[in-house]
This record gives sequence, C-alpha cells and structure tokens, in this order.
Amino acid sequence: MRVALADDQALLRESLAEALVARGIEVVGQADDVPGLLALVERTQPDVAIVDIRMPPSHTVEGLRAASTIRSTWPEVALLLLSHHVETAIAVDLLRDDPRGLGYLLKDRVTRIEILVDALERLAAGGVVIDPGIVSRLLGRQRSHDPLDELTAREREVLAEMAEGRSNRGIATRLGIEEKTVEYHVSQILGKLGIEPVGADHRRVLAVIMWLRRSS
Amino acid sequence: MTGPLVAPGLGLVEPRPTASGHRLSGWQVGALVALAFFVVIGAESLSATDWRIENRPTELGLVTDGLLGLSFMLVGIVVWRALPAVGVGMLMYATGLAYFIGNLAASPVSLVHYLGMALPGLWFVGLGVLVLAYPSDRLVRRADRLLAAGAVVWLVVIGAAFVTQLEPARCLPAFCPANPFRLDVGVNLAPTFATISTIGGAVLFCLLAIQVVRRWRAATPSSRRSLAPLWFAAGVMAAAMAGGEVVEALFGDNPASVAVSLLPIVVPIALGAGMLRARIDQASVGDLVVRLGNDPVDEEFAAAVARAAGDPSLVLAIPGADGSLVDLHDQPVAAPGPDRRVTRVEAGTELLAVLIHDVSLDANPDLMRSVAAATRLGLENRRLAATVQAQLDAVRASRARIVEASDAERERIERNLHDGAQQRLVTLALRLRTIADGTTDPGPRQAIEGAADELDEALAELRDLARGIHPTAVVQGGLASAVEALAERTPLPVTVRVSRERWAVGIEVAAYFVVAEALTNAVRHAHASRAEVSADVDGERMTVAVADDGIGGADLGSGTGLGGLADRLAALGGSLEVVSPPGGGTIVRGDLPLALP
Repeated sequence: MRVALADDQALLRESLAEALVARGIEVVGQADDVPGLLALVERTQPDVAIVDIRMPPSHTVEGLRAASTIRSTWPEVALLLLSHHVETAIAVDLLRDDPRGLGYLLKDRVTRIEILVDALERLAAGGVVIDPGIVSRLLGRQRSHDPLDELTAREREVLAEMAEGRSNRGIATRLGIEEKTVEYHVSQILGKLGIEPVGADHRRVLAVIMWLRRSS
Repeated sequence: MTGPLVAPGLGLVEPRPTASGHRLSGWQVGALVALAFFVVIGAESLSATDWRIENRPTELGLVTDGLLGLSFMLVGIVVWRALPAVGVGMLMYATGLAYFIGNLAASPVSLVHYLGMALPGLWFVGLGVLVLAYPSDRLVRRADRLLAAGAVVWLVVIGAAFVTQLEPARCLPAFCPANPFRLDVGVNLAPTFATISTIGGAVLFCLLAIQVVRRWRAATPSSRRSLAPLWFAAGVMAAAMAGGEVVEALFGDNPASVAVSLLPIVVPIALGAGMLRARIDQASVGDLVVRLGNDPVDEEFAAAVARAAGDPSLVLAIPGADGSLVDLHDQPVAAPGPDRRVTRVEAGTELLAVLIHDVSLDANPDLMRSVAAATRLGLENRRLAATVQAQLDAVRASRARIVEASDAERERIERNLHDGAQQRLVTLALRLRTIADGTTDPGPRQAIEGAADELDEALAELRDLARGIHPTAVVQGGLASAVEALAERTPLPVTVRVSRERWAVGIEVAAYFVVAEALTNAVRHAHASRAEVSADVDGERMTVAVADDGIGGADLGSGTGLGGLADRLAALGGSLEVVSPPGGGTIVRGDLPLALP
C-alpha cells in the first residue's frame, strides 16, 4: 500500500512515517501544507492520503477543504482525516456525499498503530472509517426509553461495528462469525431501530450515525 | 466672564448687587403708618385752615387730596414690607410725603409757607422715577437719569426764583408771612416765573411721556406684558392730568371733576399691585430643585428654570470656550436690553452660568437668588453625573479589555499545549507502540504497551484540560456544534436547541462556558436525569439557558464555578441568573448583548 502524509506537526509526522514503514507500508511523500499536499497527491497518486484537518495558515479547516479538492479531482485516492476533537457534525457532513474511501479519526488514535493500519486497509478497499470514540460516545448517551435496550448484546456489538463503517465482511471477521449471520443481525437491528435499509454498506453508516445523534 | 455686560448704546447694565435691603419690623410698620396718618391729617388740617381763605378746599377736596398722598404712603409701606430689598416701597412712601409739601403753603409760618410755595411739584419727580424705573428703584438709561436730575434741578431753580418774587397777596393782622427771600428787581416777575414753571412742567411731562413710550417700544412682548401695570398707571396719569384740566374748565367743581381728580389714586395701587404680583411663591423653587437634580442641562433644564422664575423670556447662558457667554446651542448670547437683568450663578469664584431675565424679576431678588442656587445645584449635579458616567464607561471598557486579554492569553496557552506538549506526547506514544511492536519478549512488550496506555490516558486528560482553557471547537466550529459535542460527552440525555449562526468570538466562548459549567453542575452536583440547552436571540441580546431536573439548591457563590462566570458575563455587559429552588431543578440563564462593549 502507498500512503501520503500531510501534517504540519513535523515531529509527529516523521514518527508516523517511521511507524508505517516499520509495518511494511510505503510512504510516498510528506507535506506540511495544503499546496504541498495537492502537489504530492498529483505526483504520486497514493492509495490513501492521511490529512490533518488543522493545517496552516489558519489552522482551522484547511485540511477539510483539501480533502474535498482531492475527492473531486482524484476520486480514486482514499482519504483518512485526522482531527483533534472529533465532531459528529463533521462526520455527518463527510458521510453525506460519497463516503467510499473516506475515514475520520481522532488524532490521538494514531498512537494505536494497528488501528491506523486497519483503517488504511479498509479505506484502500473502498470502505468507510469512523472513529470508535465517536461511536462509543454516541452509543453511551442516555436516552429516555432507549430503543437500544431492545437490542441483544450481539446486536449492539454489530451496531457499533456498523457505526464505525465496517462492511459486513469486516464485521464478520472481527466478531468471528459468519457473514450471513451478520446480515441477519443487521436487518434485525435496522428493523428494531426503525432505520431504512439503504443498500450499500457504506451508505448505512450515515443512517446509523444520524440515528445515534438524535437524543430521544 | 467677570465684568458687567454691555448693552450697546444704552449704557452699562450692572448685575444687581446682592444687598437685601432693610426689612421692616412690625414696630417700624406701625410707626410708618402712624407717621403717614399724622402727616395727612396735619397737612389737610393745615389746608383747611389756610390763611389764604379763598384757597381753602372743600371737604371733598380735602378728602381727595389726603387720599392721594395717603395712598402712596400706605401702598409704599405694603411694598416695602413685602419686598424689602427693592427700594420701590421706600420711594413710594417718600413720594407720598413729598406730595404734601404743597400743603405747607397753607401755613402762616413764613419759612414753611415759602417752602410750600417753592416745591409743590417735587413729588412729581418721585412719581416720574417710579414710572421710569418700575419695577426696580434704579434708573438705568442715561436719558432717564438726565431727565430726573434735570427735573429736580429745574424745580428747585424755578421754585427758588419764584419765591424771590412773591409778595403775600393780602395780610391779616398777625398772619402775614413776610418773605425773607424777597428780591426786588423792580418789576414783579412772579407771574412770569409761574408761567415759565407751568411750561417747564409741561415740557418735563412730555419728556416723561416720551421716555415711557420709548421704553414700551424697546420692550420685548413678554416684557410689555409684565410691565402692564406701568402702562396702565402711565395712561391713568396722563388721563388725569389732561382730563383734570378739561373737566375743571368745563364743569367746575362737581362730582365728575372730583372723580377725575381721584383717578391718580389708581397709580400707586396699580404700581404696588404690579410689584407684589412679581413676588412668586418660593415653593416653586423647591419644585425646581427636585426637578433640576434629574435633568441634564439642555432645553428642558432651561425651561424649568424659566418656569420657576415665572419669566418665559429667561435665557440660560453658560460660559463658552473662549470665555464669552453662549446659550445652550453654543450661539453667542445677545446683550440684554434695558428691560433685562442679569443674575449670576456661581460656585465659589467660578461662574457656572448666567440667567438673563426680565426686569420685573428684579422686584424679587430673593426669588432669583433661590433660582440661581437651584440652577447651580443642577449644573453641579450634571457635571458630577458626567464625570461619574465617564469613569463608569472607562471601567467597563477596561473590564472588557481584561477579559479579552485573558482570553487571548488562554488561546495562546492552548496553542502551545497543542503544538508542544500534546504533539510530543502523541509522538511518544506512537514511538513506544512501535517499539513494543518490535519487541518479541512478552514481558518488556507488555510493560511498554502499558506505558503507552498510560500515555493515552494522559493525552485524553490533557485534551480535556485544553478544552477547558480555550474551547477551540467553539472558535472554529461555532457555538451550536461545540454545544452539541459537549452534549454528546455528557452522561445525561441533553436536548440542544441552538441556532447554527455565528456570533462574535467573545460571545460564543462566554455562552459555551455557561453551558459547560451548567452541564458539569447538572451531572456532578444536581444528580439530574435530563438537561436542556437553548440559545435564543432577540434583536440585540442572546439568552443562553441550561435547565436540568436535578435537586436544585445551586447559587452563584458556593464553589460551583458560576461566580467567575457571572463576572465574565458582566464584563461583556451581560448577566448571569441562577434559578434553583431546592428540589426543583436548576435553570442557569446567561444574558449577553450581541455587540461586544
């Protein structure tokens, strides 16, 4: 797998590159600002570009804008966006358009190299990645007359994996069950929660997240 | 401006000095009244027993004559008692006394008789001064002064000249007053002098009339109104003078001519009533003081002063930038005419303002002093209020700057944390895990991974801390999204109703902190099971409210972090309210103006 890195925090970026290389992933280049990133992507056409949302000059949302530029110009390049405080609102916005090959992770998550590698692999395969922290937070919120109480334990696990963007196959692998069983659980969950089936796996992430964000 | 004001062409107009005149005690009034009656009775008795029998008046004549002089004296006493600071009362009394000089001619005593013959018309000068100076006792115009002086000189000279030519017309034995002043120049000039005297008197009378007309023409409409008693008296006098001659010539000595000869009594009564009417109830000044305390110095203030003084033409002038006097619109003030007077409003040696008002107010200097004092209070109050307001504004601005500065500092700290410590810790954790990956020996591997886990926890705490220092999420994403994220992190169901608008950074940050603090309290202290966050905007103010259903009992003081929040909101021109009845849930409400001060 070929990966490009864009982050203005040089120390972290270098360490990340080292860690990836140590795992056998090729780092085709590093950039520390948006023009650099765009040039890098154009030149190297990586499988995934890892982009920090907060980049110069204003350190607000340059990364997000760069992501949408890359998306529209080079749609085959998958994107992993790293954020300093994950906001479900941003996640929802990202998921609205074509979310295939789009990932959104809390920056601190990169210390877990295996999570990072797993995310990169899923993204390269066209999947969706949502930070597990968002998901557990959303799942953990108290709601009056919580419909989640009607799910079985296994169904809750499957729901969490769905919210993180995993495909049925990915869920099957992680939970060590058959893919068909996963499909069954998924339809049960959607039925109990009243979520419309939307077809493709990556589309349902949005539906689940939206559902979870509602407070009651 | 410290000197007198100059009325061009009309001489100097001096501000009235603040003497208070001679106040009459009850004893003195009694004495003056007694003297008046004594003089009247004495003079009329004298006339009744005039040694020139043909000159003796009828009873009616005695009464009318006595009444006229008496009316001057009695009205004079009343005015003197009521308005001791103005000499008009005294002048009237003196005029009344001088009226009876003519009666002295009835005395057989030589000196007295000739005094009476020489100066019977002196009282006219007094009357003339009363008319020209009304309602004050001083003559202002040079022409008036010249006229009065000239009249006195004329009367004395012609009177003296006349007396030197007199011979007693007839003598009764033992009643013949010899003329010690007789000057024999060969021919008897007495008739000539008499004629000259009459002509001179007519001329003086005409000049008086001219001066009165000039005064009328120079007066402002409001001045004319306030001098109405004067025009009335002057008119009556003119009618009496002219009418008296005509009626007497036509009808002789009958009731009609008596009526006409009584007419002049109206003069002192009219003048006296006019003087007393000018004395306005001091209670109105009390009202003025109360009112002036609250009004700024502007049209309302000037109008209130004019109302209290009873003079709609009153002008309030204040010292302008270059020391000249200007009105409240910064226009130079016209020099006052002869019927205007000036009252100074001073605080110590500083001239605060000048009240230019109608001369009729001069009749009551006590009132004007009170009005001036009240005006001074009002002006000083206004200055004080302006100073306090300026200081208050300065303090507010300074407080807002402090909050801004501290926020900027916090942002700097958060930035440093983020770029510095957080980055290093993330990198460190990454490195540790990479090392752990490369370590095959399970013991050390676990230890290293354990260390990396600790580091992750430290990072999470640091992230929370940084958010409390400066909520970057608010600054970048706006209040609504930051509050939603906050709600998601809260282990309570939280309903969020915040519009997705953006406002000034200071406002959004303040509102965010209110919500954060209130939600923390809801979880930690109130043991609530539900919370609702709302932000409503109404024109120029935002109200952010957090309501929970917990145990209540929160207040701004007790270590709930709300006190510091109240200060922050106050510095932005807003306020914090906590409604928290014990057992009844809590509402924390922050109110903020949308424009930063």
